[in-house]
Amino acid sequence: MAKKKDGRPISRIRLIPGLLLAMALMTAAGCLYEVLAALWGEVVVTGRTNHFIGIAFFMIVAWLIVYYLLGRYENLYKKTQEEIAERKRAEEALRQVPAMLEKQVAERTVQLARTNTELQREISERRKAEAELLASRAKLQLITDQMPGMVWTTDKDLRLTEIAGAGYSGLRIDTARFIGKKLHRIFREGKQGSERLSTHLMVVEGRSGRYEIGLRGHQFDVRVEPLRDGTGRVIGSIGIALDVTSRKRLENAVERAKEYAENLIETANVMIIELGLDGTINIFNEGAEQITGYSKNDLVGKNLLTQVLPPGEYNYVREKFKEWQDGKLLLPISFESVIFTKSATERFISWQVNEIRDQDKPVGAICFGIDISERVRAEREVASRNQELFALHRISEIILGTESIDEAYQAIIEEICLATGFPVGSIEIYDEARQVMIVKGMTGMSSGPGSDARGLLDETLSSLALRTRKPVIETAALSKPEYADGLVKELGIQTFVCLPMVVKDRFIGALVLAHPSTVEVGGNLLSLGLSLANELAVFTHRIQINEALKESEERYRKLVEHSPDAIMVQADRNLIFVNAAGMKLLGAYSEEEVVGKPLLDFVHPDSVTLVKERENLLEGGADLPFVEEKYIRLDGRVIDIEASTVKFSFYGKSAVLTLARDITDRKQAEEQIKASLKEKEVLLKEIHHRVKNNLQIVSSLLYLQSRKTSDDQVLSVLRESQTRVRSMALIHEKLYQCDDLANINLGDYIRSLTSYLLNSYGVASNMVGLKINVESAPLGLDRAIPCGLIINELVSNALKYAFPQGRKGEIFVNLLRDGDGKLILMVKDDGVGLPEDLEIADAPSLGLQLVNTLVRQLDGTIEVGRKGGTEFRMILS
Amino acid sequence: MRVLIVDDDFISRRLLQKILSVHGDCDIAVDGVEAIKAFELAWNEGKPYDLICMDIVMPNIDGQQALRTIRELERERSIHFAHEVKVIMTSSLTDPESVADAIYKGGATAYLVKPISRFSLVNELQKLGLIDRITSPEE
Repeated sequence: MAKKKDGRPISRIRLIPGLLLAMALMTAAGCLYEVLAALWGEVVVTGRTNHFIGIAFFMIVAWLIVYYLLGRYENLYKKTQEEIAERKRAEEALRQVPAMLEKQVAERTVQLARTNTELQREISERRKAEAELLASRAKLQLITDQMPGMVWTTDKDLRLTEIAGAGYSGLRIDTARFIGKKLHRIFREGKQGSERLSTHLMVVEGRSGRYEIGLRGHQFDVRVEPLRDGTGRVIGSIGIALDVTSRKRLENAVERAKEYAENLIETANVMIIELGLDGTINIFNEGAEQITGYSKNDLVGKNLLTQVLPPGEYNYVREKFKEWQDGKLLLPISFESVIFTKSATERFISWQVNEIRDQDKPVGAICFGIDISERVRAEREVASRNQELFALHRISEIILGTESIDEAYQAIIEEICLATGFPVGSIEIYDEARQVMIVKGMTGMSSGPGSDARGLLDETLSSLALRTRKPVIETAALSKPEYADGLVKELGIQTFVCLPMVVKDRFIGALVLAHPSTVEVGGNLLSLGLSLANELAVFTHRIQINEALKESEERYRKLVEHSPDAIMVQADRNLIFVNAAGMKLLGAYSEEEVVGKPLLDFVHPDSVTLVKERENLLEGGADLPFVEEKYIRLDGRVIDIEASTVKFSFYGKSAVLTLARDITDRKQAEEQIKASLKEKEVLLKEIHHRVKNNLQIVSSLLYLQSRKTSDDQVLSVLRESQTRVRSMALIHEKLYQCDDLANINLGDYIRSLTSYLLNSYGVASNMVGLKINVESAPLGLDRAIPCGLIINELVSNALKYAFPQGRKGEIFVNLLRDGDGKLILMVKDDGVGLPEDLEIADAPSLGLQLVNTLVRQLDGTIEVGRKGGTEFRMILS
Repeated sequence: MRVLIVDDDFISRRLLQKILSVHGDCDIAVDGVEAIKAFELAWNEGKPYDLICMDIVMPNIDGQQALRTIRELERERSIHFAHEVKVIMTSSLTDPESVADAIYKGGATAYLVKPISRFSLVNELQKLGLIDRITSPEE
């Protein structure tokens, strides 16, 4: 306050004028307030009390102003007073200065001297301390430079102050570059950078921190600590980075190995089970889960021996486990066992059990199990095949070893029952002729085999087997009404298998197996059964074929034996078989007489060449037809035979079969007939000759007769008759002249006839020409004579009437055969032609009537053409 | 080798007998009751069975029950389990679960599912060491 300035009190009197001024101002302020209050009304201030507050306020303000002004005034006054006093004091002092100065200089000099000595001492001490410090720093530097890491310090603002450490040298980083830079700029941006920065920030707050940093492939473990001064105040941070690259690498490798091992344990297709000493399951891997179907939770903590292993194996394993616990059994041990999965299916496991030891004491066992079910299954498959082979082998032995077929069947079915485990069985063979099943072998049933024995198959079943030819399997026969009456019920059979035996699509029969319980007919069993059925089928088929073969052989043997023809078989040119007829042929009474001899011995010398020729032909592979040969019998009689030879295979050897027949009698008969025929031919020729001679005589008689008359008509008649007879004689002449007595060659005949007619009518050949065109077809006598007569009539007619008064012309005679074998005879001339009114059908002349009659006789037709002469055209059948 | 064949069905029994008689003396029992009697008798005679082939489903006392009784009797006589009679359970039940379950609780040595062929039985006998592997299954 103003009052206290300079510490001197202000006199009250001096305050009076100020107070007065204050009063006046207060009054003025009160008036001003009233005016303001009047102007604003009660807007700003309400109520009367506020008037007083306002007045008081203004009074205080006014007072303060007044007081201030008073103060300033007083100060001014006081200052002036002081200046005056000061000046007086200064004047006084000036007068005293030289003495004071001298005194002060002396004091100062002493003081300076003292200070100087102190300074000297201090300097030497500091030097010593500095030297010590330097030495210590150098040592520190050395240490930090050598350490396999990095050390850095920062100030409180995280500005790098120092960097040291051997770690840098390896990285080849120019550390000096970073000195003075803030960490904010050094750490890269991003999550890691900010993390590291925040660690540093945390450190300068007084806590310690840690992070990892990777630099040029090196991994550093960084510890950051607050840097404190002597008093413990944080003045920055110090970071120590240790190169942990190799350690890290190692750690990673270990981690990976562990992971790998865990993975391996988990995912390996191997059961890995760790057991405690008591058999409790500690580890149960995924492989084990997969194989057993149990989950970890199902089994971990439970006992393996009582949970998973099946009874038979259980005893074994339990025993072994106990031995191990007692220290009698040394692990590792390997064995194979069956386990049952959760779904109760068998699996075969190959185990390897190792001990887990901790400080030489067993603490448990680790079991590795490999699922070998497939292998075992394959082995079983092989075993089953072996079983099959064994059974088949046994059956073959039985088949080979037994005398009677029925015995064989019985032994076979017993063997089959043993092999398949079905106590009841039967072999039922189908009789095709009677269409019934015949029981051949049977076990487990009271009735023995035989044709009347009841089989296991009732008719429904056998017909089903016959029809479908597929195995029928029934596992609950007792509950089926269709088997209520049969043996099934009687024997109490639940399961039966009916296996049809089929060979080459032929139903041979069925193998029936039955079991009193409901049993599973699995693939192996079925395959075994089918193999057995097949073997049986083949066996039966062979038996049946053999029987059929025997029968057929018997039949053929009989055929051969009883053949009326001689059958002789030669191999290597020696007879090896001769049938009864053959022996008879050769004149032998027993086989010994002929068998072993060459057939050639029996051949007559006349035939030897032929026989040898034929043998050669036979070697060439030709089939030879029957020929006639001559043999000499054992008794020396020569016989004629007719023989045919073929090459064939006889008991695997190339052989020649000769089929021979004694034709001596037939030969003689033939000769007789031939002689008789010859005789008849001569006779016939003689007859034709005589007929011809007789007709010739008749013709000559007619000629002689004609010379006795001069009547032209009579002459004409006689000549006509003469030519007619002549034409007939000519045919007989032609007949006996040629070899064939039945047929005549018409060509020759017509030529002879027409030239005779020309002569006979005295027609010169230069006046009327003959054109003859005849197919040289032979014609029977019965048709040749009418034909000849027709030609005689028509040609005679033409010669008589067609060429009057020396008219020249030609006569055509054509004889052809048409496609149907009919004869077409045409006689034509180019003469004057027939009279217009002449009708052939009722011609007055004997000649044309004769022609008509003869054509009718030959079932023919006749046409007359009158164009350019006359044409007679006849079609004779 | 002494063998006891236990089966209620005559023809099944006969087949087993046919197979086994080659390898040893076979006795027959038709149900569990007879089987237990036969087992005790054999022990009393001092000629215990080496092998019991027992059907599971039988009248009176079934195979499982008989087996359990036999095992109990053996325990009473404190027979070491290495000398326990080998029991092959024969079953026509094709469901392996019941087979496994039933047999394991009774302590059978092995089991065979019917039909039991000579091959499978002989094979099992070989596995159990009851007959020599080299011996041919017949003769």
